[in-house]
Amino acid sequence: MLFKIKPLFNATTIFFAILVVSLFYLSNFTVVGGHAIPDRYTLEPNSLLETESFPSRIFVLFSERPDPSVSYIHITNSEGKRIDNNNFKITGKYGREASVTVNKNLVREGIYSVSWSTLSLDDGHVARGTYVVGVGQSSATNTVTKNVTENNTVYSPVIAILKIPIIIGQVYVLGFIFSQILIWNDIRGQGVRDIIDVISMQKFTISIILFSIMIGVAATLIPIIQSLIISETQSEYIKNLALLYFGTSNGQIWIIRIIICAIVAFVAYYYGRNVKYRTNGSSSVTNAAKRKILLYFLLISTIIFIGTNSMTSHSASMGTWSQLGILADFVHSTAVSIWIGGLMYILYVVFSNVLTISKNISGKVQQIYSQPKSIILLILSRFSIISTICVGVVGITGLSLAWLHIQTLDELVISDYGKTLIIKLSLVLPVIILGGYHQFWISKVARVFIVKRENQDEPASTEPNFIKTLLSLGRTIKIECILAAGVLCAASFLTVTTPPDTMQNNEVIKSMSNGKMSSEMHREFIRTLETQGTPIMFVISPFVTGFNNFTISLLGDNEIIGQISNASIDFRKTDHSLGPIYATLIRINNTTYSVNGGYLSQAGEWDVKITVKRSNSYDLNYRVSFTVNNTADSVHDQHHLDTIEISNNTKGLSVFTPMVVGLSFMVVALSTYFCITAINRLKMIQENFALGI
Amino acid sequence: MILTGILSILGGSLSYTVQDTSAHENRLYGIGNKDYWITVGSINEPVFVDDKSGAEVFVKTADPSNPLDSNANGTKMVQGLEKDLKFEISAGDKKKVFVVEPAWNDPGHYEAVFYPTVETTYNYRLFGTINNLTLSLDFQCQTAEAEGNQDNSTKQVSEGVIQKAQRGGFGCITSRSDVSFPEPYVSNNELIEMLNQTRDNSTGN
Repeated sequence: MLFKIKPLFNATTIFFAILVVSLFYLSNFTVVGGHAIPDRYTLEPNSLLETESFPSRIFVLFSERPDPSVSYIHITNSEGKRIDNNNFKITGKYGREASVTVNKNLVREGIYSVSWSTLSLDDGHVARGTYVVGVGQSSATNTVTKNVTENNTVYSPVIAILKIPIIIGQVYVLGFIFSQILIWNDIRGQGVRDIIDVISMQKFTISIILFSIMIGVAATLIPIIQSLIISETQSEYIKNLALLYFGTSNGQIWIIRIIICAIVAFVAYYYGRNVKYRTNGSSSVTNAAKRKILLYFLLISTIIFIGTNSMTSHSASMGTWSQLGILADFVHSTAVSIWIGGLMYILYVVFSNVLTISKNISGKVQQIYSQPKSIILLILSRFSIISTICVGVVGITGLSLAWLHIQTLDELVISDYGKTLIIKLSLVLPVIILGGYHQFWISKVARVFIVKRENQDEPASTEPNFIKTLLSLGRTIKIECILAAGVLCAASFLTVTTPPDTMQNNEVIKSMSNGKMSSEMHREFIRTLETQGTPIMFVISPFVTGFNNFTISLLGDNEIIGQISNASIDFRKTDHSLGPIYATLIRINNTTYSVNGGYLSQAGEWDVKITVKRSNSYDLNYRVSFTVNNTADSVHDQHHLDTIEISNNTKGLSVFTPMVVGLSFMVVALSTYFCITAINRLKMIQENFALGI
Repeated sequence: MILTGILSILGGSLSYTVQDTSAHENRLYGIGNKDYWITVGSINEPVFVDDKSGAEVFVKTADPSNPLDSNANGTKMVQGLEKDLKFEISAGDKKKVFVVEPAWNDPGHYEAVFYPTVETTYNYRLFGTINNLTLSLDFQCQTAEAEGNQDNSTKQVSEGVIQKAQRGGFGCITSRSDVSFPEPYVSNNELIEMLNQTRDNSTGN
């Protein structure tokens, strides 16, 4: 018995001794909280490598000594398959440096995740993390396409400024061409139209050519600036620039725009020469027909140009409503161009030439018809019909677009898009008021003129009072033009500001018809998240595995948000096979932060935590989960689809629907009323003063 | 029993070795005529909201022959600083000063216990005197500890106090929502906010 008890006693003693030691050891051990975390890497996180330059051994220097029996470094490809040789070992540097070799035969183009897990020999704590690297050109391509998408959707003042000449240019070109065709359309008389064409030709053609060049230059500068923003080195810059011009759908649009600009400039020049030749005495009928064809050709070319803008507008990313959005945007832009561009034509071409026209047609028509006042009244009356119709169309399409993009009052007041829209509308209002004043002026002057004429009191063409009135009218039209230019500037900023409706879509996958690259460009994950009463818009673009752009935009009031010191994102796969992967966001402006990287290296479900650190306020912590698909598979699988909308992307009735419907009816009614008034006024003026009618 | 005693002594010596190693954020300071490794972090890492935690500091003199190695054999824990050091903890716009207590049976280790109630960035300002020199050192938790860092640059902190090296960092307090099961965890602070909201709604405020 004793023989048996003694070993038992010894075993119990040893057990308790170990227990006491362990407890004692642990009681001290737990108070120290360090981790074996990477200090340095031979393969830097987020680096882009060529396939051949992928190292055959990867070293990581940890801050503490990892236990080689349980610690590891795994390298996995985008399908989750290991490409390391599972030979983790400590290689030196006080036991803190570890390495693993790579099976280079398995290295292909794509995104690779380097996951590490350590048990610290110094304090026993476990730590793990992941970082990613890209291999090959496909990663770089994704980088560019992502950034291009970012610059198109995220508020970007530089791009907005570059868009101003494009928008102003297209408005003036279309307005000038349309006015040149319509304003003088049915003016007859002994060569009166020819004289007008010759007089107006110089300013008309020079304007069209200059605006076309301005559009072309601005359109060319946009990719240059985009590439500058997204590139860190010169070689990257050149590569990105080439991709932006020739490797993306934006590049295709750039080519179309440049071609149209060149055609418009050339045809305008040819038109000018044609008008000049007419003065040398060629056949009037043939020449008039040729000039008409040239003007219509210019008109169609410019309309196509506007169409390219609408095809790439915010409306194009609206899922099932995109067709309606594109149509509304196109009609809106065209009507605005005819209205504002026409106004500019009247100021620049008609007003500055009216005395010359009057002098040159004097003798070819009745005295009263050739007077500047008659010409101005006729032209303004005609234009007032056009502008009234255009304002009506602009009002209805503008309301439709606002309805499509803005769902709630908060979106209108809080979002950048809503604020910019409010600024634009604030500028539109005085333009419309001035337009109304000009209508009133035409009616008043016409009435006075008719009364004088009935009393056989025909005023002289150079009557000082009239010149004064003309100058005064020119001034108010100039103010209207300047305000209208302000509206166009606001519109330019609107084109680069993400509408809040897009923010609320969980996921929008757009047309897949233009091949892999453009398809990837259009796949975006967009979601609005909220914590502590502060909403943010979170955008991942393109929304496929690989290198992506991650952008957060704070939507709340700046004063409530407070001063942001830092923003970061933690990525981890929901099944804990990868992560956490940490990314610090770069400040774009006060409310927008962005980072580019291959953090979503594998398909599957991911959990993301966004942290916004603020001075003197608690951090804002947002959490979101999503499932991301592999680049090639998902794109090819969905090629047959035009538009896919997932989750809460169904457009419901916005709170503005009744208001929009009511306002639209009001716009139609007012527009119709003013249009009928303008038609009656024109009839009256034509009966009394029209040139050759 | 003798064996137990021997093992206990051995364990004690082992524990001394372990606590002497790297901790959360290690910084080497020249304070007056001596170099000190000051290690600051949170108690009981990883810390979740409403956990018992706090700020803790380990102070030891650096090994004169190898000052840049915080684990060198010649380092010595510094005792008796509980009267000279304090922590000012700040989070958001809130600040509070905590006195430090020496950790039980762990010389050179001082703790200021508190219960973090919000998932946010916590700043630990260690202030007081060491080696008869006044110092004020700011430490901030890091969102991702995966970002290991090492810095051997020298910076003047205050008169007579020079930072000579820095190693690692310590993690921030995180929400329990990521690890709660089976029902989602609601922190005490969130619960209070919900109750306040309910009260406001019921009183029509």
